[in-house]
Amino acid sequence: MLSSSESSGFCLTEILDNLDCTELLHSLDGGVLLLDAECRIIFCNRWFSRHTGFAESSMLGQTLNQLFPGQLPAPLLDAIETACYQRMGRILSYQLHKRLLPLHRRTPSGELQPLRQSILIKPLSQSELTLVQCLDITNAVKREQHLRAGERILKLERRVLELIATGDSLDMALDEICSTVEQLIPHTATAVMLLDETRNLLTIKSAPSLPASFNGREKGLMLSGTPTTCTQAVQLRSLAVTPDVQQDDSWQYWSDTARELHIAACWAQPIIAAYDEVVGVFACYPQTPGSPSESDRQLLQRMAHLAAIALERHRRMERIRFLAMHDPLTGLPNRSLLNEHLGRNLRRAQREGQQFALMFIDLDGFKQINDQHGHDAGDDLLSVLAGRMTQQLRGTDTCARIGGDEFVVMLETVQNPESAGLVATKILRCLSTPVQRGQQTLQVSASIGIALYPHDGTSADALLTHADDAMYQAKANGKNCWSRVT
Amino acid sequence: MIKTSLSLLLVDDSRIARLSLKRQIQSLALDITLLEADSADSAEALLASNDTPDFALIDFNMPGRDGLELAERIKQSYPQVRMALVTANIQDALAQRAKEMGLAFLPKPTTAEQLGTFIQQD
Amino acid sequence: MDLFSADEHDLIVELMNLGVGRAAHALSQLVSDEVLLSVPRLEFISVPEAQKAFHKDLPPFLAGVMQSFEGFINGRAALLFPEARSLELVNAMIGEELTADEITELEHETLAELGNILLNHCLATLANQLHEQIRTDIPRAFSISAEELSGTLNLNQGNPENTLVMLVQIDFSLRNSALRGYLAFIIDLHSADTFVSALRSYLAELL
Repeated sequence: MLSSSESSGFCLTEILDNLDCTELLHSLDGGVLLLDAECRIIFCNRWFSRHTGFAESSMLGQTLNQLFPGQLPAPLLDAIETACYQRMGRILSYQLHKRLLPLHRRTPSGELQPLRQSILIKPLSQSELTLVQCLDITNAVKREQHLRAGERILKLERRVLELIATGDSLDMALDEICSTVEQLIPHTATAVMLLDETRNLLTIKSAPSLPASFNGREKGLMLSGTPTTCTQAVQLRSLAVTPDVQQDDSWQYWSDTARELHIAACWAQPIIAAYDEVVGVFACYPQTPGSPSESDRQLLQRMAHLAAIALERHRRMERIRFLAMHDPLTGLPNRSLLNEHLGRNLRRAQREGQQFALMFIDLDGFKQINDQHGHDAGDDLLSVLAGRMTQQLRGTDTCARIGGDEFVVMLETVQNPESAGLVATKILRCLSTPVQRGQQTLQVSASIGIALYPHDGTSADALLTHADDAMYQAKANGKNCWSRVT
Repeated sequence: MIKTSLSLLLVDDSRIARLSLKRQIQSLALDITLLEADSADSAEALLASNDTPDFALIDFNMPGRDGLELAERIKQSYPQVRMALVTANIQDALAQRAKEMGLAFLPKPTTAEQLGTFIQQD
Repeated sequence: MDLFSADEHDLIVELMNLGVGRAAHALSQLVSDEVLLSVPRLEFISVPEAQKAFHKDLPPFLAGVMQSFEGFINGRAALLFPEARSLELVNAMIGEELTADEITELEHETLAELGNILLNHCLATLANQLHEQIRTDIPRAFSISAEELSGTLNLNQGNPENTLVMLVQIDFSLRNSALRGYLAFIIDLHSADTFVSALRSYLAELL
């Protein structure tokens, strides 16, 4: 008995010896031609007949140039001649020659499509023959295009992420997201719309390539009104598609604007932030009617996700900024923010020739509250009093906590010294009104010093010092009163 | 009519290239005096110490200054010299640059006929 | 290696310049842009010297194209690049502004054609000018580490003493992309005799 390896070795030799090379070439999945020294076809395999539509017999004896008169690109003819006459092997690659042989292949859906190919031309040694191999690389081209497209998206995404990470301008990041999509889906305008706090109104936040007339939608889209593509995206929490806005009732009101701006369709992807909260919509407005392809859908999802990241970061930055500028106990602006507001108001008042007032407020008897009832009681009292003071002020005024029981109030404008005194009186009253805390009744009073711009000083330091001095005078005058040193 | 005695400057860093140009020129059976240089620098030195030649054949790709840089200098100092760029770089872009400077463009390898036409044209 | 006289050496450089010039012309027509190629240095070295030179001069990862040839001289010719830069070259050739992260099969093919054009023109010019004949096989592109180069080029096939390596530095410049590559011709020494005699008879006609 022969061992199995010996028997298979024996068989292989036998098979190879008896192999019909012609049959082998015919069964190959790719074109094979043999040319003689004059470039004439002396053999072609079945693949070749199948893809050209020529019968094998009609090809023999012909050159490729005779078979496809006037259809072959010069580099291919040159390469064939170089190989047949000068015996130089050649490769013709797809990327450098998008058109080689006029061959087609049928797609799975039955359409005829040009066959993407590369061609190898090999002069055979020991003979005058030249072997031409035509490779169908359609799938490789598809893979390559896919890879390139993926890389392109990654690169653009990276740019957006860098903008999000380094800059603190939300508008810039959102504009970049819009223009990224506009680059990847040509002939499309895009917009980012955000929901307001009432969660009922969608307004445009970024639309770099749409004109202001479109942003006239600025009044916004009401979620409670007639549903539109964008409001649907918010409500359904998924992509909403209107393939043809002229055929869609919800677009009736906007159909003229759409026509004017070449908006033919609308695809809206919800922007979903942390805790699954829909915060807005990423909208695409293609110039031709249609629905997004699978890759468009993926792109919209990714970009909406980036927009969510940008918004989330912006929100966090705002939060950090708030924390840095406010007193954690009372939520009032701290000294830094007061200085900022004061500086701004000084410049404004100077420019507009107006007066404004600064009040230094110190609580009377606050230490005793802490000593008697504990710090928690003191803290609660401060919170309540901070709220009361804010209620006495206009939205443009500032009330800041600058120390344990010290506050500064800036009245943005005052007509005369008397009106500042009136506000001070109201504040004194609200601060001395007792605060009920469970069984405890807590009561303090305050001493207030007033300084007026420009009369008492024209710089922040001068005004604060002046108000401080006035406050001490109020203390000296018996507390629970206001004073102005003139 | 052709002058009875002509002189020609040959600039090429390759001795073989100069030899083969020289041979082709000699085969033309014209009375030509040859000056040879293997670089732009030595060509300028030759021009300074000899009678100005009628023609110059200049290689493009040479160590140091290239052929067009040399041609620019010759054009300024010896405008009467008729020049040709002789080069293996046969791209249209280079041929165009040579023509813009008023140089003839002779692709390598040259033939005696091409050289003859260049020398004998008016 | 003093196999060649100064004149013979000079002649080969001149022929290489001719071949490279024609290749540049062919490439420039293909990409509709000017392609600058120059041959700054040519040297003949033995196999061990070549191995040393490869280790010293070449980057750790290489992309290249190899083609066998036979005729009045026999051997293998290769075009070698630093792998990362070869992608740049392919991108410049196909007018793609993005740099891919890795070389794909299509780019391998494009690189193969680039090498094919260059090597064919050099070999054909050598043969034609010396009134000899040469046949080349189809090119093959590869990406390898420098250690694998000797194996890929079959440097140790047969007796290394019977093999001569002609190493040519070549500077490419295309669409703002400039890089240095190497052409390596691994010539069987048996055929080097025919090479020398072809060079000598060319020179004899000239001198």
